[in-house]
Amino acid sequence: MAWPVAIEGVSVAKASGLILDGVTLSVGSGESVALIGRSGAGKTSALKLVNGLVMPTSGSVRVDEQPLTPANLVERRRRIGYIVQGVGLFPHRSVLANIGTVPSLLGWPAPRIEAAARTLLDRLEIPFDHFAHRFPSQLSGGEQQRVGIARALIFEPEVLLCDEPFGALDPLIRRELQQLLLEIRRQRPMTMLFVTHDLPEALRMAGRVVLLDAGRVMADFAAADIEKVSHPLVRRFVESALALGATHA
Amino acid sequence: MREFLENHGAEILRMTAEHLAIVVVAVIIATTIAIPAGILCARRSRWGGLFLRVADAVQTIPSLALFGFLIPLPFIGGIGTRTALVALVLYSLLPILRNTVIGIREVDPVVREVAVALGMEPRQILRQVELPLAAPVILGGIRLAVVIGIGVATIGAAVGGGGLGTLIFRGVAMVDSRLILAGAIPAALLALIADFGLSAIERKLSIRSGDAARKED
Repeated sequence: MAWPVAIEGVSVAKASGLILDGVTLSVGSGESVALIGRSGAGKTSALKLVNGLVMPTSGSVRVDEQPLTPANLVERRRRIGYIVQGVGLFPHRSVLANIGTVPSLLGWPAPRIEAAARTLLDRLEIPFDHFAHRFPSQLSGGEQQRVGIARALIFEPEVLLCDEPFGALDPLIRRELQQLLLEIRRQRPMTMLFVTHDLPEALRMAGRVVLLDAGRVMADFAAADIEKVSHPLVRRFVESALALGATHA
Repeated sequence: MREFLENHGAEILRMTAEHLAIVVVAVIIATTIAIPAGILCARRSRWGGLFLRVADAVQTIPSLALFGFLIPLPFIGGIGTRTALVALVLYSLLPILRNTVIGIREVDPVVREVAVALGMEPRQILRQVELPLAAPVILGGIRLAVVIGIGVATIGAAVGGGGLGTLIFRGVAMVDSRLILAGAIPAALLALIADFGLSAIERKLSIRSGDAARKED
């Protein structure tokens, strides 16, 4: 059973001011939620609350019905997948060693890691035998991100956190990886939070969309209801997406 | 020339070995102090600044003057190898310390954050991520310490430190340029070989830690 996530009245204060301001957001077990908003809206900070990379100044974060505490943080993180735009592959480790990071921390034997990595890489269209022993610097951007996805999924996480994972990729690869991620989620449901500033991507990847602005939740709606949402900022996102679509057409 | 080498060959070899030994021991001692201190400095910027300033100050003292300061000190000073060793350790600290701090601070913050997010504990992050990625830079500091050490150890002979400097100083006193060269040439060769060998290892480590573009295969 994938873990539910509940963020309740969370504010995060930094020297520069309030990053998050009373954010409340609950994500049900197996649900997928996209967080959208302009740069600096607090999307990434909200996402990072879930794996404790950002700690609330006030309010609470519950993952699998339990509050995050320093005592359970490391164990929780090993069951939460994390994919970021910068990928963050360990440059000194081979593809296989990168993918095996969490399984090694969990004490999986090497043959099990290799078997799971093989299945997943083949699934992500990265032939294992060709890539397993390469280093990240020998891969293209798209290949690196596939390895990043494999690293986040190999241990079958309960929650998957994605922070603009496809933002730096060309549109074709972007579309392909979105599709792959959706298929993988269909086969094994996991709770997902997906940060993006691209509305079409948000609608494609998630069943529910949450709009953040200036650290606050401004709108929270089902992806299917996008046409009914009247919030001006949401309308602006829709219009700009339409305008871009028209340009690309 | 042949006669000179026949008479002094064994001595030159012995002095070269002695010279190398004192530098290696000093750098090993300095490394065991500077790497942990560097890790601490990279974490706490206030400590870092203080340590680096002290090491920096030591580095600016001319070597003969530093020997002069050390000789009157009880326990660590006096005339002999010990004083030379202490001075060499002090000189070796800065490059290793500074490069350890830089190497760790230069680790890509995204990589470090992902390590945290994947559930690595601080010690695992240090051992499995930060130190391997900083290794080429740290080794660069060690290389610098060795090269500086080989030079300073030559002057160490002035305080009875032994090594190739002994031949040079004796040659100067006896106005015998062959004796001077018998000390100077092996000292220069040692420095060049150390620099070349350690640079090669450094390059290898850089490639492993992904610094160099490796798209060729």
